[in-house]
Order: sequence, then C-alpha cells, then structure tokens
Amino acid sequence: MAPAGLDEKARRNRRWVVVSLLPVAAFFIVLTAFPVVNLLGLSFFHVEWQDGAARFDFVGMENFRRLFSQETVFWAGVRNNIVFAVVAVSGQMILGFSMALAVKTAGSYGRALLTGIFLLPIVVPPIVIGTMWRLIMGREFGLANTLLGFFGLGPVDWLGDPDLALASVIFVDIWHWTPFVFLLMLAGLESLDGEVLEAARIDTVSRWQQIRHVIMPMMLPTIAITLLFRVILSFKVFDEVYLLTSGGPGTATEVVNFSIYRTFFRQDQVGYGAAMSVVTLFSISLIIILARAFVQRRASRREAAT
Amino acid sequence: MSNVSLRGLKKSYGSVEVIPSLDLDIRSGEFVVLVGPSGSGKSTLLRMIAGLESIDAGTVSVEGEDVTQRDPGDRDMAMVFQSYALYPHMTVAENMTFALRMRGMDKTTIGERLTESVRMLSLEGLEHRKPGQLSGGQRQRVAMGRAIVRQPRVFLFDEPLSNLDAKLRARTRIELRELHEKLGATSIFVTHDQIEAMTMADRIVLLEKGRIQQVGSPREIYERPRNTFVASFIGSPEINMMEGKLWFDNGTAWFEQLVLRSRGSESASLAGVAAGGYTLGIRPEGFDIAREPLEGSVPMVVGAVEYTGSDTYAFGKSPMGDLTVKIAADFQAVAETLHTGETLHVKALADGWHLFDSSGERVTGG
Repeated sequence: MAPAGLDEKARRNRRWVVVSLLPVAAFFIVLTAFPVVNLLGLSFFHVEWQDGAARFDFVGMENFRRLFSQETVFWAGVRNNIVFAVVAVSGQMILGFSMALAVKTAGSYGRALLTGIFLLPIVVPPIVIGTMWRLIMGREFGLANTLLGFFGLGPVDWLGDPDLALASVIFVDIWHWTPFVFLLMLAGLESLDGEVLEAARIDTVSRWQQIRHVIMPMMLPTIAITLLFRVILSFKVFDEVYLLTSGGPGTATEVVNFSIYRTFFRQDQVGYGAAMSVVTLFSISLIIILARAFVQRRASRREAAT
Repeated sequence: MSNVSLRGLKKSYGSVEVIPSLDLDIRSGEFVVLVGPSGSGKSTLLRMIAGLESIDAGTVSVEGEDVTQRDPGDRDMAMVFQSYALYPHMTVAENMTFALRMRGMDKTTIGERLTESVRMLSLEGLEHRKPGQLSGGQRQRVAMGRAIVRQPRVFLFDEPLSNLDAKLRARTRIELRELHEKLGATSIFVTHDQIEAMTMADRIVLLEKGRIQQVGSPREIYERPRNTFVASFIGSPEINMMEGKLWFDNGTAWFEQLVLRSRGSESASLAGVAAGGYTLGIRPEGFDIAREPLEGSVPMVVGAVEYTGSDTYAFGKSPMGDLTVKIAADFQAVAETLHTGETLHVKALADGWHLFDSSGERVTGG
C-alpha cells in the first residue's frame, strides 16, 4: 500500500482512539480530578456557615500551618494508622496466604467447605461486623469475656482499655479482610503451572523449601498487588473504627480517616478538614509512587543480573 | 546398581479403575519405554513411581528398598516433564542446581556437576539466562540437565519430546539415547509415540487400560506381537487385519484364498493348530507383489498410491478387505508406473503373517 494510504489509516486509528477514550476521560475529570482540585482549593479557605450560606475567607497556608504546628489528634491518628496498616496487613497477608495454600492442597470436598467458611466475613455488611464484634467484645456481657470466664480469666475491657483497643480493632480488621487476601492468593496459586509445582516436589526435601523457593517467588506479582491494595485500603479504614470505638478511648484508636470525618462534618471546619485530606492524599500517593519505583528498580536490576 | 520393581500396583479414581494390578521389573541401567494410547495409564504409572500420585495398593521398590511411602523428594529419582516445568524465576544454572542446593550439597561439588552437565548438553553461555529467554529445544535440554546433575538412581521421562518440532525431536531422540549410553542410568520413559518407543527402548512395555499387553525388546514386539492390540499399535502404516477361516489342504495352510508358508518345514509353525475362524495380521511389508495371479494370492484393486520418498505404499480393496501394501525396493519399476484402478496380486511372505484366535491372542503351533 502507498505511504499516503498508511498515513490515512494511522490518522483514522488515532481519531478512533481519541473518540473512544473521551467518555472515560470526561468521567474521570468530572468525578475524580475535579473533586481533588476542589479539595485543594478548599484547603486555603476558612469556611463559616452564616444564614444558611457558606462564607469563604481566604487564609492562605494558615490551615496547613495549624495542622503541622498545633494539631495533636490528627497526628495520633497517623501514628495509629501506620501501626494499624503494618500489623493488620501483615496479619492478613500471612493468614490469607497460608489459608490459600491449605485450600489448594485440600481435596475437592474440603476445598469447597473451607472456601465457603473462609469467605463468610467478606459477605457480612460492615455495619453488622461492627455491631457483632462490639457485642462479642463488650466488657460486661460480651461473648469473649464469657468464654474467658470459663477459664477463670478476665473480664478484659477489649474496646475500653487504651492499651488494648487498637489491638482489638486490628484483630477485627484482620478477621474482616483476610478472606479478601485469601481469595486473591488462591486465584494466584491456581494460575501457577502445575508441572512446575510437581517438579518442586521432586527437587525439594520439605514443604517449606517448596513454599520458600518456588511458590513464593512465583507468587510475587500477586503478593505485591494484594499488598499495595490492602495498604491503601487500610489507610481508608473507617466503618470498623466508627462502630467499635469511635476513635476512643482518648486517641487510642484514632485513625486518619476518622479525624478528617470529625473535623469536616462534626466540627464544620471544612477548610481545615480539606487540608488534612490533602496531606493524606499526597502522602499516600507518594508512598505508592516510591513503592512502585522500588519494585521496578528491583525487577530491572534482576533483569540486568541475568 | 539399581533396579525398580513394581508389585501389585493399583490405582483408581473413584469408581474408575486406572491400573487394575500391575507387576513390572526394570533391570538396572535399562532404558524402558512405557507406551500406549491416551488413557492407557502410562503417565499415571510413571507418576506413581515418582510419588506424585498416591498408590491404592502394592509397592514400589528401588534396589530392593521399599519407597512406596516416601515423598517424591526422598526417592532419589529425577523427572523430566512434558512442559519441562522449569522454574521461571531462576536462571539456567539455578534451575539445574536447585535440587542439589536444597539437599545442602557443598558448593564445589555443585559447581563441578553443573559444569559437567552444561558441557554434556552444550548449554555453555546460557547459564545466566532465564527460561523465558530460551528456545524450546534449549529448555528441553535444561530440563534434562536438571535431572542429570542429581545423578539419581532412576530417571523418569514424561513425554519430554512431544513439544519439539519433528526435526528436533528426531535429533533429541538420538542425543537422549547417546546420553543414556554414557550415563547408564535406569530410565523410564513414557510416550504415546510408537516411533519413540521403537527407536529408544531397550525394552518396551505396552499398556492398554492399565494392563500390560506385552513386555519385550522392540524387535520382539514388532516381530512377535502377543495379541491383536500390540500388532495394531506398533507399526506404521498399521498392520492389515483380516477375519476369516483357516483350512488345511494336503499339509498346506490356507487362510481363505491366501496360502500361509513358513521358512522352516512347511506349515511347521501351525502344527497342531485346528482349522476354523481366526484373525490374520500381515504388515504392509509382509506381501509379495505380482502383476499376474499366483497360487495363493489375492487380487487387489489399487485405490491410492502414497509415495513417501524412501517407500511406496499402495492402498486398495481385495476380496479379504482393505489392504495396505508396501512396494518393495526391488519392485520400484512397478511403483513408478502404478496407477489407481490397476489390479495387483498379493501373497503373504513366508513368516510374514501373524495368526490370532477369536480372543485376539497370538496362535502358535507346537
């Protein structure tokens, strides 16, 4: 074909690409980019409600100055949230991976049963989860303390003790989200080459060697994606904290999302709340970018080594 | 010196019996090929020997040592898989040394064995590549190398050549055979390809529906098939099978219109065999061809001629059914002028025929 015809074809192709991407791009701008820009703008204002209307006073960097110099609750939330993310996500990854391995090696009958049981927490609505665990962990009549009572232990104030409350919330989060990790891990395990796993059975002398040297390295992409996903989601935790402890006692279970919610909606400090959101948003974005860069650098270094 | 011995081996999946009960002895240093159609249980049998498949009953022993209850990693066997099953995240060298490293062998020995195997398989220069950067043939050799470095008591091969193209497969067949001569290790090789079985095996074990049909050298299996299944499975093009009546006339054996002769004293091999209904098998090369009718020959109307380069086959109809006939090299003049619709007269060569009774078993006279 003549080059002119090729050009024409390329142009038509490009036009088609643009046209077909337009609706999604528009959606993205309206629903994601616009709110972020709006939030950024809002963080430079002090907003007062007067006579049923909002009055915007431009305050420049004042909200940020206040956040970084006077704020205590938010930063307690950040600290808690980091502990929460590290402990809860590690727990979920280890448990989810082990459960997926167990199900993969179970017979077909045990497999269906185990999968059913393991998936139960993920189908329960968060509001029910919060209420249910609040009842279980209640100080006076909770199931947990009743059970402990049989052994002459307790009662333990699971949600009211400042030293225990965060651990309790983390426990519930692990219970809630392990099935999700399990599901992704199981899908990842199912997609591994069966003959490679059999070769590993012949080449290794223990199950642990198979897991450590063959299964885990081959599962690395699945593990990385799941980890990233869970870390992001754990910084957005809200419902469990709200229903179980509302951030208390004191700031023992305060988390980032909860501080923002309270500042923004409860205390009507819209500008200040927006500043908190912006800081959180950019911090998490930065973490993701750094994590991706780290993974890619490792991958490319490995390529270079070969 | 190792030998593998299977005693009363059984396997079923639910109510489906894959291997009813099987006994087999493999001598040390022997290259045994398990061959059979798909679903014959040959792969299952190999996997049971490897320990990858559970065993319902019976024992597997190596050098007289019962390994039935041992884990696959604890049987001192190495296996080469159909898809090669290389570890995608490891380099060629890491793949090949993996089993040794997992057994905590010292670095110097590992290095020596690696160098030795890499040289033997001409994998030099590829040690630091990942499997994804190798061609099919190279991957196949790495898979072999992974087995060789272990210096196991038994080598297991699960159709390792079936993913190679025809040319490479033929070459690898020879390389594998040469490697076996060099290493002298006991090898069990599974294939569905009768050519692989015939060319590589010291002994062939022919399986169907989990039962051993015949065990023997390629020559024994080809020349004295024990039943109609073995006769049909081995040989390409397939053996001609004809149903009909065996009768005797004045000491000469006839099968319908065909005369059956033997090289020894006439019809000696049929001595004591009763006349009656039998199945006669004649391989395509077991015919004598003429343009004119001979005594004890049948006419065949040629329907198609196949020229493969070295051989010419004629396919046609005779009063005894469809026949495939190989035109012998000294008959090339006929082959060159042969055309469809022509009538040839064919006659069984002395000892070129196999007689089977109604249950499919080989019939031999006393």
